[in-house]
Amino acid sequence: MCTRSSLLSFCLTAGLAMGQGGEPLNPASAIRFNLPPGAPVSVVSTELGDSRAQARGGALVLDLRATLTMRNDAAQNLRGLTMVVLSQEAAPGGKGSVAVPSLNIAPGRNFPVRINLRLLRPLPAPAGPLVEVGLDGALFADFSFFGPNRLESRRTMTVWEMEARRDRQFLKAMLEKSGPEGLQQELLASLGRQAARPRVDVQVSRDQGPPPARVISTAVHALTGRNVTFAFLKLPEAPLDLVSGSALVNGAEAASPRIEAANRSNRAVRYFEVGWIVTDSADRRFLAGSLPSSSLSLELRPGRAAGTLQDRSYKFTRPGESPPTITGMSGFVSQVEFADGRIWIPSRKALIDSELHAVLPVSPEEQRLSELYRNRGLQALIEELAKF
Amino acid sequence: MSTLFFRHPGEADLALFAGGELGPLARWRIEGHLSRCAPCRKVVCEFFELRSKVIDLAELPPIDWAQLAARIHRQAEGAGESSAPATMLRPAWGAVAALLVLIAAGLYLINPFPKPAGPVRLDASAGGVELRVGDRQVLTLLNTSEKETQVSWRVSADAVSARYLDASTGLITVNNVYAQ
Repeated sequence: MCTRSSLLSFCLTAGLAMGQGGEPLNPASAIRFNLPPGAPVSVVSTELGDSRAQARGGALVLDLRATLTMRNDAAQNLRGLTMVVLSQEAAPGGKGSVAVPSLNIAPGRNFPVRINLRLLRPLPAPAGPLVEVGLDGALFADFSFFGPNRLESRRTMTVWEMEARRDRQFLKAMLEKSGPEGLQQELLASLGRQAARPRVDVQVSRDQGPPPARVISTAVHALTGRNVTFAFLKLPEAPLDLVSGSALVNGAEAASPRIEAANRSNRAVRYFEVGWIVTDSADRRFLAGSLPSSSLSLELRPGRAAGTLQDRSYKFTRPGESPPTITGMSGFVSQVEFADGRIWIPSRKALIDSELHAVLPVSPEEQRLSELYRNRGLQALIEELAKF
Repeated sequence: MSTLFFRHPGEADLALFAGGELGPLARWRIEGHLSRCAPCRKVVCEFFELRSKVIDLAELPPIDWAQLAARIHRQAEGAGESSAPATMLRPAWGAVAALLVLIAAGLYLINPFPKPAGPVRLDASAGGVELRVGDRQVLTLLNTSEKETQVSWRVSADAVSARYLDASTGLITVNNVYAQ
């Protein structure tokens, strides 16, 4: 016997399966671009290649493989772009973004942006596009920025651009001082570090249950975990001093990491991040994450202290291996944004002297340049460095 | 400290404690005991881990209210056909079943798929970054690098990012998912 609603459900599922499943999506119906008026970039074309939508057990599974061709319509070279990706009503507040750092796109030139996503939508799917893609920000060579900046992409892309300049400067100095051979050695060392970094997957969870559940969760963490104190790496010229910090650790999980930082500069600080390095029982070190300052509207005046965001649990796993056992933790100031919008990042020398460069991932620009060296050789890299 | 804390709680109480299901007084008493009793702490730890695993494994499938209503309807009809006294109740059963079907249809149309509920989780791996709510995948941004070593990720409290060299565009690309 078939009820009317199950028949309705079947018809909807079958309709979607016939209408969308297995067939290439129509770009106009599956994805919508919402660029703000006067945006300095535009979408020239969209290609959805192998994108598919399939109905599976009462849900629509959308696999979107989109390549956008975009154009820099501004008068400055484009250095970075962040596109926000919103799936309609999939989850309240659930969103993603795709950013492209380390660009050098001249005015009027096209460039590709690839968006690969998978999402589940309840059936019946509502009318209208399933995914909306908008601009969160574009950063130009003179550090000017355009966009709504809802994802703080201005700060993120400014940090990338500062790291890019720092690392290009370092490589240029190496070329000048030690010649092509010296530059080559540096690039080989960089590729070696990238290959040797431990592969650790991570899950971040935040308890959203009712207050009693949070209290219990905290109490159980407190009883089953042990309190591990952070050691701090002091970088020269860092505007903040890390004062104290600890986290509850249980095997491969760490909960509620908190670090207190004091502003030792003479300027107010709006935002800061602490790099968090974990040592496991095999004495391997890896970057566990970044701990951001606890308030989005922070105004940390000179001499005052503030803490990082807490109430999160971090679980580390190693693909194909047993989970790492956390035995030690250290922290360092990885970036600071002052109230006037200026940003501080560690110098290359400070990273080398503190041996952090062996643990941290290379910057996006160093990754781009080292791949250029690997694929096209030393001369191509030298020519690329000469463009800046 | 009171002798109240010296007696070992029963396993049932420790299990309830790990599940967060004790009242405030019992919770306070067990917390006091656990602070000085390593064996009981171990038991709580085991219960907590077990509970976490059970929660991970035990996602309730979405309830098909329409199917449930139809089954009740069928059972009601079957019962009506097989016994004489029930025949007298058939009009009432029919009304109840019809009402259930109406409610089920209404529920289906209003909320055909249970909304994601539960803790927000962000995952980062070589394959991509993912936002999950409870056990449900909500949004995944996939990496398309040629090699795993070309992927690095960055984790902060409310976002995870995966940076990789896109094999198709040759550009460094950073995928992010956000918990807020």
